[in-house]
Amino acid sequence: MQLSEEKIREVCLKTIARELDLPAEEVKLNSNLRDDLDLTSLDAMNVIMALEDEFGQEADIEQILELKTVQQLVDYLLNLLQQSK
Amino acid sequence: MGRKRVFVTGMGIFCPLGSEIKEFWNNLSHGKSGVHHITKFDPTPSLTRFAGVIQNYDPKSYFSPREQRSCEAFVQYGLLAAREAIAQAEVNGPDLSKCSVVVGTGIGGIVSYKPAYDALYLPDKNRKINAFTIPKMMNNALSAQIAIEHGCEGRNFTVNTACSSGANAIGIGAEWLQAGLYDRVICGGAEAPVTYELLRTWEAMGVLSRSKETPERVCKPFAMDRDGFVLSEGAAMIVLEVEESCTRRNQSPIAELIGFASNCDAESLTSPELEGVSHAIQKALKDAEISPIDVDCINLHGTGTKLNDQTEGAAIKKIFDDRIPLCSASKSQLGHSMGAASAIEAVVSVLSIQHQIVPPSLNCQPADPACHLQNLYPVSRKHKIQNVLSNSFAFGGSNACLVFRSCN
Repeated sequence: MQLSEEKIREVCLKTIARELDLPAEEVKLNSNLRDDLDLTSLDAMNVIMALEDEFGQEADIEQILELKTVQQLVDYLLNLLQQSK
Repeated sequence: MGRKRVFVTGMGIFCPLGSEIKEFWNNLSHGKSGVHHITKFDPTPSLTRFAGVIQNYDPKSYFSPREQRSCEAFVQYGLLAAREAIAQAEVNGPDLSKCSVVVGTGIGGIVSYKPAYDALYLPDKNRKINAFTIPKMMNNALSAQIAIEHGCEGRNFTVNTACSSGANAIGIGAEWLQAGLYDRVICGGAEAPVTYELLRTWEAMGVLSRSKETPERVCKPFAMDRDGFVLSEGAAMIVLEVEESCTRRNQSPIAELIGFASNCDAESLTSPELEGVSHAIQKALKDAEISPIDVDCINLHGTGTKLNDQTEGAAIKKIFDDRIPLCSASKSQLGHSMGAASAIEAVVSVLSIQHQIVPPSLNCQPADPACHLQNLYPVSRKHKIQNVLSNSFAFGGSNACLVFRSCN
């Protein structure tokens, strides 16, 4: 199944909000994962596990921990899913 | 060189009878009960349908989403009690960063086990183990979180002696100060054991009350018709400080901690022993350098189980003979919050001194003559209180007694 960028973005925003127990409107594409969303390394693990389930792809935790914004995470996932085609 | 004198300069509480000291004392001294029907889960098929519950608790009112994700309820309760104690002690800056922390918990982070085990063993393979499981369930999460929140860089210990954990934590903290290792310590206990799983496992031991009376009537320490203890939750924290530090900071102490004893029955995991319990009380009085006749009030362990109450009563009779002082059995109003209970009762003891009031003991009549305690009253009694003994006994035979003295 091929996912559109829009769908990936939507799932990503929803998953982050759910795992961080935040209202959906607080999670934006330009949100900084650490400064705005208070994401810790353990939160990142929970988010990654949930996204892996959503997209059926294994992600690289080391690479994800280096990402700064939600948009960068979406871009990373887009790239990951395109490579796996 | 003699040991340093140790004073209480701050107290905090978060429990079924109040979310801060003033509210707690008002409810306790007016005979209110914190025991209610369990509503946060369905207790059936358990025959015990009630517990000491912090009603309407909403972590969002106190903690950020990140703190909520990373702290189980026992840590949250302990943090709230610590905030109040530190605020009352007015400790800040370098004085706070040099603080040590020693807190007790009997069970610790039990809630996180279930979703982790569910993820491992339930058929739904999509369940994931939450990355916070280990940091949330480790017993020293609370002592560490207090240090993190307040920047306390001194020793950081967690004590587990089951139901005497809080009193042992306070006593150990006092000993650090008496020895001159630190100027002040944050100490106490916390527990959040009101879960379906723990209710059922305690019930399996046959030690929980199954009374069909209304919740405020079910816990009956030392009464003829007592039938077990009532599970409860909460936390209490105390700031202890050496005399020199109180003087330097011009901080008025609330009470002095003059005696502490801790021992082990070394007989049974679950049955209290008269000798061990008696020795703990005697050693605490000796440590306080007072005689039984100097004790104005005893805050009893008084769980409401047949054997515990009988053993505690017999130990008190043995030591105080026919001069048993006025007593209070706070679990009659609060239930038994395991590792937090003895810290909460230490706070009750200090408040008794502060207000010169022996708080009520509900449901204790008709008294069981085998317990030798006829002086438990359902209403507060004004009384001249200089010295209070606070008793705590625990599974594992771990006994801990504290003695507090008025500063006046």
